Amino acid sequence: MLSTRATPYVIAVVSVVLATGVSLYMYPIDSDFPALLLLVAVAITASTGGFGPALVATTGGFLSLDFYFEQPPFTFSVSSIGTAFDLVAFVVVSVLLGTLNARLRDARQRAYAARREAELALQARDDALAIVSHDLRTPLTAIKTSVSTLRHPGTPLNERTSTELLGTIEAEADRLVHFVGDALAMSRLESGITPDPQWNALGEIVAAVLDRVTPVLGERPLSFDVPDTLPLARFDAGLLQQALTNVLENVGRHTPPGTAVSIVGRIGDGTVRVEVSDAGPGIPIEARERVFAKFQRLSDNSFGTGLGLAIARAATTAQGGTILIDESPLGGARFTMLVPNLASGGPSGAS
Amino acid sequence: MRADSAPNILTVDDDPHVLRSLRAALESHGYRVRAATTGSSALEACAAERPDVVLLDLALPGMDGVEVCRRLRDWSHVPILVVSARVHEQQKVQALDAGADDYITKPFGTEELLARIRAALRREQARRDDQPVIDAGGLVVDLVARRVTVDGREVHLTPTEYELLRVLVTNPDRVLTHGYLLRNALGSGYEDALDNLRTFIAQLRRKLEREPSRPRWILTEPAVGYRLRPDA
Repeated sequence: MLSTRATPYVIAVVSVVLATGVSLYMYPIDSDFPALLLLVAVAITASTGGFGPALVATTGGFLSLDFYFEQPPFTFSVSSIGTAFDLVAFVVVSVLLGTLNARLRDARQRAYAARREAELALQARDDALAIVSHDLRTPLTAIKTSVSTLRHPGTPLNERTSTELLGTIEAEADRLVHFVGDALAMSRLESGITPDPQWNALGEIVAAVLDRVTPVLGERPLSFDVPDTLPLARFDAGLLQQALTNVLENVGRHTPPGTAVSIVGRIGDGTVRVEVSDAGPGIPIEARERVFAKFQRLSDNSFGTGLGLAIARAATTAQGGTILIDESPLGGARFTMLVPNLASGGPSGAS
Repeated sequence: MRADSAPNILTVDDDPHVLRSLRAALESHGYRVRAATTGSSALEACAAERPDVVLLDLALPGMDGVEVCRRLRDWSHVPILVVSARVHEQQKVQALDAGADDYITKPFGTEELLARIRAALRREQARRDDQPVIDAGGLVVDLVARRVTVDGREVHLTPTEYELLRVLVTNPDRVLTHGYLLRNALGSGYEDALDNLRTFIAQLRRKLEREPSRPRWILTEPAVGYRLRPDA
């Protein structure tokens, strides 16, 4: 069986052979018909197979025309200027025909691919919209129902029920706040932002992030290894903070309480490296790319927005860095963030 | 703040629902509340009512919040707590550099808002009292003798380190931007030297903090500045 790549060339050869055969059978020497029929063969080849096969058909057509149909017949020699002119004209028309047809075919293919891509993007947008509207409607429903019940109860509510309903309203409002915050952060990162690299002490940034995520990490034992003797580095602190915050919140949400977490920060030659390792269940190899996609949830975790790690990655790549996952020395997952250190020649040097 | 009456708070926001809920929350905690819906009416209300704290939204019709801060600072020390839905670090820095004292992002819990208001009132009280000795909970700075002790142990600071600490402790719980600290603590010639500021802060932490890499007094506000947290 022929591979699909070879098929257009087969069409080229077959169409030239057929045109030659038909011409030989039907017409005497010195007619214009063979040349026209061979041009048809080139045109068909070009529109189905593109430029390469069209070139093959042109060459074949030229040889056939010269050998069978031009004076003197059954030789490749050319007898007169007129014959040479015929042959040159054939080649010129044939190449033009082949090129035009091949271009037409490429344009058609590109248009098809573009439409396919647009359809996929539209599908992705619809999916995202469905998730967003679900994630917005769910807490709104809970809030609306609770408020309506509090305002117009069927029978007078006891104190415990009122407290519960009020608690639901606050919790669901918090969930909305969280979701809207993440969605805005994501769209801001996706619309493209210009990093603002400044001189920073890595330890300061990590410590500030830890202060902020303490409520999410809870009682997880934390080891912190970012020496305050590290040299200063130049990078966008806001973006690194955003990435690290989302990674740590992810650890807080997806590892059991009490799971050990370790943070290591280093300033390398031209890079800033932050590693977050945990002793949790880890992330399977096949899911390590998927977790960075928007609205991906590996487990059915109702509180997460499904944007945390997508934000972490967007914030890292926004300043030319990378983020990756492998196994941690503690047995769970390890997130490594690497961002460029734009320090050239070191800080201007205080005492 | 008038000693005989509840603190007076001016809320500035162009949304009537936000103003109504702020009023309910603050009045239920014993504050008196005035409201303004534009920048210029806020400035007039400040002149007429002399509020003890201003809660200021940045996105106002006409004159925006940053401009209100700037004009208010021409003649008033009233604590300004910026309350805004804007979240970019750059806007935070702009408002703080224009004279705002603190920044809280919408939406927020009442608890957090009340804590920030109390901190602002305390700070203003301390500023008026002109205390010569400031105790930030174990970290004591004697501004007259220029003497610093941590848990009773004297710490020797270089003049620049002391100046930086003085600016921080006299503005407790207030976010001081990099630019503010460079201008007010490090002085002329250092305005752009963020790396120097980082180095001085690191030295200060090494001398004062028990765990310099997890500071309890001198906190970092990434991409914005530093804040001294008292009573740690």
